Amino acid sequence: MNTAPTETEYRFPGSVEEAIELKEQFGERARFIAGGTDLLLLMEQQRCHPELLIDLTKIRSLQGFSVGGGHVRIGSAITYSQLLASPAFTQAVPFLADAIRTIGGVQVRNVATLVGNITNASPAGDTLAPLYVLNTTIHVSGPRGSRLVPIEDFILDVRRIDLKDGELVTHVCIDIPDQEERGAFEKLGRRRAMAIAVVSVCAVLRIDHGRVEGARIALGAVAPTIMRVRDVEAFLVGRALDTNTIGKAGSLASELAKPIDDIRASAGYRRLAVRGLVRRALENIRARIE
Amino acid sequence: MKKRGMGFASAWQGSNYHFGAVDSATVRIELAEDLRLRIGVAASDIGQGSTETICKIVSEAFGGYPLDCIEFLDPDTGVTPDGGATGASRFTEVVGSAALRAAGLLIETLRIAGSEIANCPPEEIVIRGHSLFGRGGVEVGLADVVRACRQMGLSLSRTASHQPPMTEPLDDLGQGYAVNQYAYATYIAEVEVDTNTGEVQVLRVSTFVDAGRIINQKGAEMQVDGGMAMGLGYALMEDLVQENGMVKTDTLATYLIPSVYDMPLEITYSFVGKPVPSNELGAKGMAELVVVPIIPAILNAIYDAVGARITELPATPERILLSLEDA
Amino acid sequence: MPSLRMTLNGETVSLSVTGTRTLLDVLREDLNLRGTKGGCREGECGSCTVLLDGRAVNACLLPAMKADGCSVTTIEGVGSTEAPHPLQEMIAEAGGVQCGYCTPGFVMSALALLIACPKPSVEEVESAISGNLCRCTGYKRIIQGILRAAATMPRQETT
Repeated sequence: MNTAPTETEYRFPGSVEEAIELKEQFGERARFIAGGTDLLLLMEQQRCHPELLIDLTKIRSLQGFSVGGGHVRIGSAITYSQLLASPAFTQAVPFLADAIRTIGGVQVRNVATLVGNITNASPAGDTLAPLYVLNTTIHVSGPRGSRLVPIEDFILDVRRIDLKDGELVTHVCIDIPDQEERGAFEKLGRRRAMAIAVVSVCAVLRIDHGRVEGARIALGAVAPTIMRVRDVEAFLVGRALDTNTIGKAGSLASELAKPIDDIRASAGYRRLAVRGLVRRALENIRARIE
Repeated sequence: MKKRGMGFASAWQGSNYHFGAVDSATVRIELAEDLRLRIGVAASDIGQGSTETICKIVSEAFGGYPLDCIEFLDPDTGVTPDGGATGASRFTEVVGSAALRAAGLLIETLRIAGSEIANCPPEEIVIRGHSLFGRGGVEVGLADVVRACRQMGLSLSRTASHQPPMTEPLDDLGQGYAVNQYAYATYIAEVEVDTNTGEVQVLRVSTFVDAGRIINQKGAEMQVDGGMAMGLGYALMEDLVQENGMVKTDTLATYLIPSVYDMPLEITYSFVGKPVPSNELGAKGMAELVVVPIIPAILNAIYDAVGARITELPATPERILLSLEDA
Repeated sequence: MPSLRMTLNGETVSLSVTGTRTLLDVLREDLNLRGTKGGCREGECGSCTVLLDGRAVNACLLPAMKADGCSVTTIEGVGSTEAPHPLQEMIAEAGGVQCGYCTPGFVMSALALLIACPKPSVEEVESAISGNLCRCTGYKRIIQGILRAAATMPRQETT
């Protein structure tokens, strides 16, 4: 069905500068598009009527992707499938790769981008909890130059991000966990493929001689944005990762979560699921150390 | 922690129209000069494989008529006789019985013509695909018999109907002969329940079905597969949520059906296979039956695994985990 | 109106489309290729799967303009009733087709898999079709059909 009020233009700018110029010119009437799997849904549901779609995927500088020097750098035109096809990537951040494998089917992963998951800013975005614990930095370019924003500051609220007029995300930079760190991603959906997360959890622990030296844990789909649960992280530091500690960490995370009721689950169940998934994530990490 | 459990459940489901609704089907079969058998009946195959089954019934009746010489005409009440609706687990039994009868009438005609050529009584003529055999194994080609029929002025188009025993509505006390035939099934399901989240994985299922004589073994197994997929969805995830009369789960993103990862790949099939006496075919319908027993079998398996007795569908991880918390 | 030029089932096609039109609508409405099915129109069911430069994509979520300069393969480019592709033959033979609405999408997903991985494991087949929904078959026989096709196919037949 083609019921857009005006005929929508579609352009492939050749550079970031050109893309920004177009966006400035059209303002709210233009939308950037990469994979487009979220945007097309909005357009199909008549919730978005852009006059111009600015496709970023043919801009060479946005197609960059590198793993090295302690970082993963991912351009905004890079698809999930491109990431999963790289052994360097899946070895560097295996739990982020696990999260990506739960997104859609192959068909979606072949076009959808990691940066798109960030800019879409859904509380249930599957890559977001891993990106929070990986201290991801968002690289933004706009008419007034470039700036860097930590992901926790970049995502403001449900589907609200810190992008100003004419700005776009060029790439993101992820800290690769070091040798002593182990991570796990856990997601609960209503079925085993192609399900929106009811709750997701990502944990990265640094363990030395059986004791937790550092912890970063984030929860997805239980608050307007992804939640770092720093009280749980602090609780874990200095303790042995035994069954008792894992159980208490799960309960503590459950208390901190601020879930809501929706069509997929009740708030009460989400709290229980946070407890269960945090335990599962920590148990997986423990199993990998032993 | 993951815990395993096993559950059994049995079900029965009536075949054919119930409660006094008239059920009948009429089928026309024609043998053309090119020796193609054309089956005409306005009854639609919606994917359950009924076309294949009806063709198989006719092929068998003709002593193994080659399936690539049998044509099932496009159903159209304007040009093909009415076979009734695709539903009520009635197609194989009701339409199939009518097809068998029409095939029998056509064979009778062929025997009469064949007996003239083979010089023996029609009762002694046996049909095997494209050949008829008379006394002492004398073989007559079907093409010659068709030609003889034309010369004798015998029509090679035959129409027959089948009507299962008439049922009646239930009386005020809920009594009466409301259903003329039931099919039966027992399923055994093994599941694994995650006590952290309440998630259920169905690991394997064994099925035992009584649908009378099984005409199309692969088709019957496929019905079991499909019915089980649907029933598994009802048991674990499919949920028509309504609010103020509006359906909230009205898309495939909100009304979830099982994905490939939700279905067990280990399924075994056993059919009783004993012909039923109520129709010449010996068959009874099983389409709806095979959806049912997987649901209580899964619920029983969940109970066996973790002690959660779920009494409201679907048995979502939420309902299971909340039930465990309450215990 | 933006102009779209693509190689469709081996032939060059040019047409004008607006920016919001999906590849699914352009294939079915403008090019009359009805083998690609619209199921959910929201990327949930995989019925509209086509190959874009050899990779499976949901045509319902793809602006047609994204196919500009690309090679697109639809089910019409894979096989016909007279000359079915081994995947079509084997999935049907295994009993992996009932109502058939999802079948073109499964064939396309399987084809993309076999192009990248000619001898897949069961797990690889499951992963490749995990973005396709089927209501009728319970998936088991579709998987069997894909594995049988892979076993019988020489490598070059996939392309």
